[in-house]
Amino acid sequence: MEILNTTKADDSGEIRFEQVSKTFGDVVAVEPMDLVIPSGCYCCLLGPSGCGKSTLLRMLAGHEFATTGEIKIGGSVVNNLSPQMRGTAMMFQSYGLFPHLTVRQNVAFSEKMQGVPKAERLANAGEMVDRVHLTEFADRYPKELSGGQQQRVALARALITQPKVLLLDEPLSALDEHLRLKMRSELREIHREFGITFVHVTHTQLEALGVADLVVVMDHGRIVQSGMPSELYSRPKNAYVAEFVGGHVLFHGQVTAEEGSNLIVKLPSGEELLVPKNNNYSAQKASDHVSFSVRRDRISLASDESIADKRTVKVKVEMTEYQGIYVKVQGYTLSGSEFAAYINDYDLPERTIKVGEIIPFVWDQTANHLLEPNS
Amino acid sequence: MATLNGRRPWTFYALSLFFVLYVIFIYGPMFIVFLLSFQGQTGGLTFPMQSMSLHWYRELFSNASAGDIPGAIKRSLLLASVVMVVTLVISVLAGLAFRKPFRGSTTIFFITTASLIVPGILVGLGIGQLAFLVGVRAHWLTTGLGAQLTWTLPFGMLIIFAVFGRFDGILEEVASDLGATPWQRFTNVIVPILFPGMIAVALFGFTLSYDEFARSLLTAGADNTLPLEIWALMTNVTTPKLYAIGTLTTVTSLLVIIISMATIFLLLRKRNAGTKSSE
Amino acid sequence: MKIVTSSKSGMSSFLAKQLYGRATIINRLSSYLLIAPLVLVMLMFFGIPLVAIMVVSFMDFDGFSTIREFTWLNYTEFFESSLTWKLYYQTFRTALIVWLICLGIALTVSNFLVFHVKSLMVQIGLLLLCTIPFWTSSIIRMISWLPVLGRNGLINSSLMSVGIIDEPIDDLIYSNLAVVIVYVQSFSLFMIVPIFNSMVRISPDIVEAAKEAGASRWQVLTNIVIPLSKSGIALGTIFIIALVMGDFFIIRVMGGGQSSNVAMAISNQIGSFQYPPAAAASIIFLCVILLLISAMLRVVDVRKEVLS
Repeated sequence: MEILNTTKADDSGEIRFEQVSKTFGDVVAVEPMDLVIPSGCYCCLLGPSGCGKSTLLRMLAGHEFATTGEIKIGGSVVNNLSPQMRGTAMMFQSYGLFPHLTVRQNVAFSEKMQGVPKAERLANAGEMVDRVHLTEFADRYPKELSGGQQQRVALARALITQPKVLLLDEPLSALDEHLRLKMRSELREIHREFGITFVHVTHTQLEALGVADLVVVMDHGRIVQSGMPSELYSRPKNAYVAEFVGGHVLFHGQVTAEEGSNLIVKLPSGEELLVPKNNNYSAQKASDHVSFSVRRDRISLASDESIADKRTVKVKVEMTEYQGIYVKVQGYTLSGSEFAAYINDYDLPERTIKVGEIIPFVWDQTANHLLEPNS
Repeated sequence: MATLNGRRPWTFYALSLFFVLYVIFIYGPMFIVFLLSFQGQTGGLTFPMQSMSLHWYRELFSNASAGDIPGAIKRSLLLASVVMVVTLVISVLAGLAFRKPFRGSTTIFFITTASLIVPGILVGLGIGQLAFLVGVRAHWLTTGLGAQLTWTLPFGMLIIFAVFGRFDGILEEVASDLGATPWQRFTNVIVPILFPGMIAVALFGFTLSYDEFARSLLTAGADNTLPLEIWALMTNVTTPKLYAIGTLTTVTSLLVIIISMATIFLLLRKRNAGTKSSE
Repeated sequence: MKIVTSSKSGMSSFLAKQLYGRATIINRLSSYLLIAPLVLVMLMFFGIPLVAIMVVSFMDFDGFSTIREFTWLNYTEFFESSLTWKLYYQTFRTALIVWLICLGIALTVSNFLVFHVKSLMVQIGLLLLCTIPFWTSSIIRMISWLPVLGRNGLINSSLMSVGIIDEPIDDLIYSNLAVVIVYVQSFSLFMIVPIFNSMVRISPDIVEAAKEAGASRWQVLTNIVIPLSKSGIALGTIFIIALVMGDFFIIRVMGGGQSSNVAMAISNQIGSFQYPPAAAASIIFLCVILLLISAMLRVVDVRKEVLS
């Protein structure tokens, strides 16, 4: 599987961070890191508040100086270039539309700064306004537009500068649920149409999984894992990623033996599960403590027949929640760790799960994924 | 606070009545002066009105009239204009300065607002004494100007602060992202958005100066501004000419206010709430 | 702080920093440059003049002119004079009366505007309506009461025509009453605006919650609205104190011979060139006012109140 099938033909929008870090006085916001974002890729920086993703974005934008390291766009070092000179454009979280200018004038702003004559720049702006399907609103003021329309103006205003990279700082965070989903697909569409590199910062994992070609998970100023959404979701590198991306159950236990390419891991409450070895990572000998994860949607209720010969885990149920597509069953294993599974509701027709019950769950052991320790 | 069935409680009517009475209270005398300025030639300072005439207005501008009203008007207008411009410039600069914390900013803020509280007569006395100690003569365009500035600058500064407080700082970063130099940011983003506030500051600067009395009394020097001239004439003049002066100067002030307020209103209506965050 | 650049871009990096203005030295300098005009003006025409007053207050005075010699006499004579205490008493008394009336008016008017007028636009419109007379000359406002309060004025004429009185009331004009009336007319706005500002910020939810808990309109007023308007009241009070105590001409014109206050006494001294005594009286006066104001400031955080 190639990493990305949306790369541009040339490398003009390729972003390279080489040993880039940022310190504010004594506080290290971003530790020295390396990252390559291929040209034309839609990249999401994902992480909780304070993980450094916004700082990274702002360094890329030219609104912060990097303390160390080189930032390269399209092969050239851009550390000391202004945003305009380095070929980036930013869409701000609150959009920052100029309230005293019409939509058309907002979009024409960058050309006005460059001294393009009035008629020409307004015509160019008009074209861009058409491209984002806001023609009827061209002469309205921002206050008259809906949230989604305002975002399109902000996008048009940024894209008219013909940037190599478009930066988006939590563009969907302030929108309500319905609008968020709609704007997500609009962003993908615009990315497809313009073909430039997008770098999108968010703390919402579903959003990142949904839009990105490349997801970069960050924690406390470091990149923890970067890769395609499917990679992160199926093979999270460590417990932090597994928990942040969501949809996994984490188990902790001790290796008791090896069985071919698998490890036998014993949970505190006695169950023994089979976990495939991970060739990247060495501490997989007997008596090592390990963690592994399983996707919640791979877990099923153990029916009576399967209990005998399969490896099952008993769970004390705390809560069930009907979510339409699945029923979320939540509780604690007998070892005391958190547990949740997504069960199809047609697996449950005769039996409803009651809070307080202890029931066994079972799944294909190849779904167990060994996790590296959090560093 | 309507009641459940949609009708207003009796308190609404009582309070409205009070409000109307209050408005009459503060406007009433103005209208009376306005009326009486058209007093007939033989009429006195109070009612009844003998007849309606423009006699006293003509008196005002005739050469025979006591005092130097036209001169005072000219001086007041000129001084008010200068004060307006100086107040505006200094206030905007101060507003820009206060966006980032710097050493001494709190002190300067308190000293400037203290200038609002200190009675004008003391400021006037102080400037007069300083001029005396230093050996400078008081003049309306130097010491008078300075004295009036101590009154207009606090107002101007407070207005600019209020406007900057509502100014979305992100807009400057946006402009910079789109290629604006600091000067371009100032002229294309800050000034246009601040413009209604700037008109308000200019308004305050002009009218506060035009009507200023206490500070000017001791600092205007030999030539009087209009309020000072009126004050001087008040003891001598016992005719409705005083009302004519009063009406003229009030009408001037009102014109300035109404034009400014209308401009501000029109500007603000167009562009209130332009960003997502202010929805 | 090491920034890795290629040697070629050394010059352009310097220019880049200047161009999009983030070199910190220039930033800090610019703050001081920007604030310099304000500082200069306030220093020259406010700060130093006050110092000048203080200097003159220690100078000797021989009844005709100022002698540049140090003396405490001005202060001792000030405190020994019984007139001083009488003047201060009258000044405080007038200020208190005016404050009470203005407070009552302001609370009523603000309450009306904020809680009984529906649309915010109308509220602000009506408030602006109240401010307009403030923009007219204070002298004219004084004069304009003559035809109303005077011997032959409106009030006397109408009262007589209706038959309530037989003789015109002489003491309407050129009296303490006239002074208070003009003060209220001139300064009530300074009480209304801060209180309006405070009331407008009271969330309607709070009022609703109080009513649901069973509070009557009056109880809502006294238990919710007024306590929450405390800072507006304090700010307004500061203004009233400064304005009423600082006035010297309204009281002279409208008060006739009867009334006097501290500021007027000082202006008299200035008028007769008794500068050192006037200076001493001014310094004391200033201290009194500042003391009162700082007491008020405990109730309100001026910077926050004014800047939001």
